[in-house]
Amino acid sequence: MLKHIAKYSSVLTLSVLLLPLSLAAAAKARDVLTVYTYDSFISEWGPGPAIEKNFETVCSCDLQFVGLDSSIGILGRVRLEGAASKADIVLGLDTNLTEIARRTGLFVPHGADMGPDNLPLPFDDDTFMPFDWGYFAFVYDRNRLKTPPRSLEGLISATDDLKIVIQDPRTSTPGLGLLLWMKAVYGGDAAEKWAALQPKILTVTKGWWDAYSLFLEGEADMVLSYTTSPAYHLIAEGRDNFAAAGFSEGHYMQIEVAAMMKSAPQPELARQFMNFIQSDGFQNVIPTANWMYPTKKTALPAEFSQLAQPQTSLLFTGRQVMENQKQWTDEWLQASQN
Amino acid sequence: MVAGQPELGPGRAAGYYSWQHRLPAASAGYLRWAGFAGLFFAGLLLGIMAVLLGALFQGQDLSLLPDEMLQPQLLRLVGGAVIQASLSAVLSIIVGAGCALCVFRRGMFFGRSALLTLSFLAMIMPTTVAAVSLLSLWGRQGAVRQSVNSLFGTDLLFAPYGLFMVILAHMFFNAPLVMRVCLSVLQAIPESQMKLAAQLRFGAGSYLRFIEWPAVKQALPSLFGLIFLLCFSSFSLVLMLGGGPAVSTLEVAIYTALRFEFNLPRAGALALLQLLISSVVILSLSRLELQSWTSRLDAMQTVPRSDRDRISVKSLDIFVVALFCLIVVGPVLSLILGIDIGGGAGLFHRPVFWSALFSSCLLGLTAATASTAAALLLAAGRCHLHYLDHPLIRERGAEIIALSVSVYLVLPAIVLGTASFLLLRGIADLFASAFWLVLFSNTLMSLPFAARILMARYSAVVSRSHRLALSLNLRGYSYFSRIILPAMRHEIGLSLGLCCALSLGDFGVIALFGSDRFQTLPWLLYQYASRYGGPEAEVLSLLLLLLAVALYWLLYKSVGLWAERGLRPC
Repeated sequence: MLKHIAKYSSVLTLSVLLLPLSLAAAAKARDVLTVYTYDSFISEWGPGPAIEKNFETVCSCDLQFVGLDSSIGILGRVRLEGAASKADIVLGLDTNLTEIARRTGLFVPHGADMGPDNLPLPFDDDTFMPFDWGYFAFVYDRNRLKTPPRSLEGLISATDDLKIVIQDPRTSTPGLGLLLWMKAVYGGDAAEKWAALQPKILTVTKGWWDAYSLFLEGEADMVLSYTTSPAYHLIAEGRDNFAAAGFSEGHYMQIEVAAMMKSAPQPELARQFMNFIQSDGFQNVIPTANWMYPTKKTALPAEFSQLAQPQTSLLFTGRQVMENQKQWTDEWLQASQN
Repeated sequence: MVAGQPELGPGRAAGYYSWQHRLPAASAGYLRWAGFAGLFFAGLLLGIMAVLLGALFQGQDLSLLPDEMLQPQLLRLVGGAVIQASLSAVLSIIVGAGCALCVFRRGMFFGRSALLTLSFLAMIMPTTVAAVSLLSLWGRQGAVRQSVNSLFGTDLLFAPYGLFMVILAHMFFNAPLVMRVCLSVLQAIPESQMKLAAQLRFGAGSYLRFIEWPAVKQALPSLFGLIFLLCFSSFSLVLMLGGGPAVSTLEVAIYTALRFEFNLPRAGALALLQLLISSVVILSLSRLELQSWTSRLDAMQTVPRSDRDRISVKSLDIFVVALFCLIVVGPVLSLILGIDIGGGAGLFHRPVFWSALFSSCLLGLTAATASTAAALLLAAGRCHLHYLDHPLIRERGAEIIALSVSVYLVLPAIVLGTASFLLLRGIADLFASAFWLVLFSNTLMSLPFAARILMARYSAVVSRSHRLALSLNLRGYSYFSRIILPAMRHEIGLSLGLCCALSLGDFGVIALFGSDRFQTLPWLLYQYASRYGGPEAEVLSLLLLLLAVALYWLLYKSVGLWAERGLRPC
């Protein structure tokens, strides 16, 4: 019996055995800097590959990205690993997570001398280094929606024919962004406003892709995304029919940050990378690979000038988010189930 | 063939149902090892799961557990999810089994294999792609809804986002499975029965009552259990089509506890609640499960039927198959026809595509082999347990095996992933073992499907052939290659093909472990889509489906060839 099994499966078994071995045998000669990030950052058309190349030419090291399923997934991962983590750097948390991340005690001040100079709001933090930012916005198709609302209030009081699709604040970054946006604009009245918005919400998806594909399919008139989303359609696809609606109350922001692990196996390289974040080798890659604004003043592609430019930037501190997130989420749950 | 009734009563219509006997214990000696091996394997699986779940509670105060599990808000959510899952399962079974009966009655007809292939594709479509395809028919702008609107001047259909849309999507994924399993059960009905029925000039009702229903109903409890559990733990589909947080599942709460709150004991408590509900369903169904039937061992032949040519029967068949097509085949076709192939051609120039293709094929083939082998072992365990003398082992053993088969459905992937991470972090390099972890989870994921396909048939084949095998002194591998394999080649082929396709399409735990060195096609698909999708994502999803079909045929044909070797004279 064994002979038969061996005969039929030896080729398969051999290749299965060799695969992880050959993978594990990857370059070990140079020092390795390990950076945890979210997975779309390191996809072939994301910023990861170019940044890796640019940094490796200046550090003579091996930069290895580990792509995890989400921003919150990165934090969960290093919390599980604790001080035993292989990570030197985590890249891709946002300001909503910084306070929670700080409390874990896993991160140390980065000590970098170069700071951001292209943020619409002052941002001063010795541990978390911003690397890009953007505004949440509702994106629509000019051919389908001729008169989009011009304010959050306009959206809420629009007729119920206007259908929007949003993401769940419990599972998605833009979803949480809208929750905070509503709270920043309406404060104590937010629940009431959520209830008024309810008939226009077609559905609440788990992730960004689900919502955006519903929108592209023509199911919804507007989708919760970023002001920079139309830049993708302009530059990568040459389509100018998509636009983000500028809202007069202002737009809620997302600032993405990186931080250095206290337990970093390569602290010197990690510090070098934290300094590298504000340099051209990193920042120039951001606009057309991560489709966000860079934190350092760099020349943007011409198409970016066609994007909606919010006059007011809204942002809660990491501490406010940490202290209120659960209560605000429950408030939204209540309002949207009635 | 589960513990319970050892023999069917003499009142049963067809004589062959009482053909089956308990084996005399002594003569079954050589089968006993298989029973114990299967039981041991099942126990091992359950043990691993218990250890994993336990890892979440490490060093925590357990006295708060009941409070976590009994919040009224949570119980309401569970109630809603139970209703959703039950409706999804019942409707999938009605549509799937109905279609199987009609297809079986019609025998060979034009478009039969297209119907089977396209509905096979439905089972393995990536969730978001499937949802968008479904909405292209049933959504606000969907073709079906638009034609209903223009026909009647008003929207008579169910709301495009809400409970019923979720159920419809679950039918889309699960009715094809019901159809395949029921069809394979129907095709195993002995030819003599079909001939007798034709001689007696049976009508459609008599065929159903005396021949088809007794065969089909054996498969239904376990199918109901499988679909119930799949729908009960469904996540992104429920959120996407449910229209808001009012339609939700426990899985969403588990995700929130694990990710946003980083509250491992609470996540563990919720997972435990899911486990309890799922176990109740599995165990009560395993008691309900009926005794297996004997069946012919040869390939399907067409026996003329006396009910086929009636106009009423014909129109019924056309109606049922058309309904099935509208729900299952329509969205698949809409995906295939809507794709801009030229726009995604750039895909083939990317090295990452070829490496992902290789990893996915390797993963699919190994996971399919592993889960089919595991399901055969568990099937052997469950079948031969029946011949053990000890009533306690016989009954508890059947329950243990029933639970172990569904282990992956009972605990959410994110919990399994986190827990195995907690356990293994100090022991193994998780980046280097990403392949093995994904292989393990994909094997467990497809195990319940493989088991549904193989278990009942295995018992039937053994009960039919054990005397012959004893008299020929066939045992061990020769018993497998000369009896089991030739008789079960369709089921083994189906199981291998389906499991391979399922793991090809599974995104599952890859993202949880994360690595830039191990990438699969669904991972790549998600990467393309998460930056504004575009034609590459569409072409990639089509390729994924084509690859699944190609590997399915490859596996199915190889099993056929292997089985023929077993039939050759020594």
